[in-house]
Amino acid sequence: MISVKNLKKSFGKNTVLNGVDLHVERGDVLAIIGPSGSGKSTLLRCLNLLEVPDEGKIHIGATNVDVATMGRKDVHNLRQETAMVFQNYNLFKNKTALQNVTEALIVAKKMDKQEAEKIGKELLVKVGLEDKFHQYPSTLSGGQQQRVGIARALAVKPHAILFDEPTSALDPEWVSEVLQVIKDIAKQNTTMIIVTHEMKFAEEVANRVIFMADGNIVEENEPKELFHNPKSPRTKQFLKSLERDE
Amino acid sequence: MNLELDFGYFVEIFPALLKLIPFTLFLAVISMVFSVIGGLILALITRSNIPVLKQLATIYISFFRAIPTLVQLFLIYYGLPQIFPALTGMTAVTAAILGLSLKQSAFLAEIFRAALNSVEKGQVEACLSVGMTKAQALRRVVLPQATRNAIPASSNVFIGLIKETSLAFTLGIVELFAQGKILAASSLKFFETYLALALLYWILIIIVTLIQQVIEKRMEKPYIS
Repeated sequence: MISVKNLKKSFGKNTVLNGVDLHVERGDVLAIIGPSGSGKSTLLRCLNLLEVPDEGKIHIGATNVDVATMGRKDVHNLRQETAMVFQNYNLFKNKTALQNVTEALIVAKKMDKQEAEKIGKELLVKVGLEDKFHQYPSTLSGGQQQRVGIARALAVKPHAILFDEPTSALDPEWVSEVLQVIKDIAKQNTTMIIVTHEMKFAEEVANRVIFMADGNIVEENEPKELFHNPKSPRTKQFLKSLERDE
Repeated sequence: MNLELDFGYFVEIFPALLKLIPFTLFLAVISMVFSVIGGLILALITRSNIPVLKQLATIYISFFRAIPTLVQLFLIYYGLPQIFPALTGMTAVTAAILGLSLKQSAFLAEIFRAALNSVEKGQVEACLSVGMTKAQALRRVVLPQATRNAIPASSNVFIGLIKETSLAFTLGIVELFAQGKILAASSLKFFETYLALALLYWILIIIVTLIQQVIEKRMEKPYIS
């Protein structure tokens, strides 16, 4: 379970998160949508403290953190609860696909190398990269790199996986293969929070959707309701602006 | 112009000079090892936000980049024992290694800082996001990538070090250059002796450059698409 209370974050005078409350049950797939600058990526990055919030309480899995009083140990514990899939993949450039997946297992979880490699290979097979174990990121396509990124996140068996616009940097031809992999994982009862611009995908994969604007959660509902029967004028306006684009 | 080159003598002195190459390399390699350690520590401090230490590191780098190597060697070997009598027993070789290391660690610190900064921020974020600590990220991901960026400029520093070991003769150390000087003084064949010396330094640097290319090629492997 994930529970966030009164999360606040400003960059200088610019308020990015204006006291956000969030609740995600185990096994939920939550999609966060909204215009750019609405704070959705910042919210996600606050959950693993890549951005340090100004105030608020974060509870993920077995870890409870109050931003005001947290220490180094709390930060480390909270980060152990999640894993992130990045917009720009951020694969370790000096490591092969397999090493990318096994790195955290060997270094952070102190697993022995053979065991880690067994898990790593299984996961790479699962994301359809059984023939790319020993290739470096520079030799992989964007879609392949992102699938390694997903395998890397799965490897540490996190309480939840955080997806930060996982397809935004991809060439259109690779988007569907990555979305398919995410859908497959979603079916296996993995808790996931997905920040995305892919509305169709959000509707299909999520069981709940949040619409964010100006640092606030404006509307939260089941995908069908939120996309086809939005309550807030702000949500309506946003969805309408997307239709125009299409 | 007098073209009476004594070729026989020129060839003859090579064995006497070659004998000193291991010692010259010893001075350069030991100094390089200390410089790399010192440079890395300085680079990490200047990137951190530790008060006092950060300012001290900046002053250190500024000072040792500024003063001539020769002044530095004299300051350490002839100057320091005057203030700290305990250092009177310091050998010339120790002083030379110390002086060269102190100076080159300041230059390497700047190279390492730039190399560390060139590693994308996302690489560390990825480490943290899968539960690794900052120290683990540094050791396993950032340093290996930064090393690749630092190799070309660091090789230049090492080449500089090999040549600067010749300054050790001013402290009375008989290394490659001092040996040449001794030979030239006794034979009075200055041109032949110093030409032989110049060629030997050149060959040394060519070999170092070849090794550098091999290392670069190996480190480049993950980044070739």
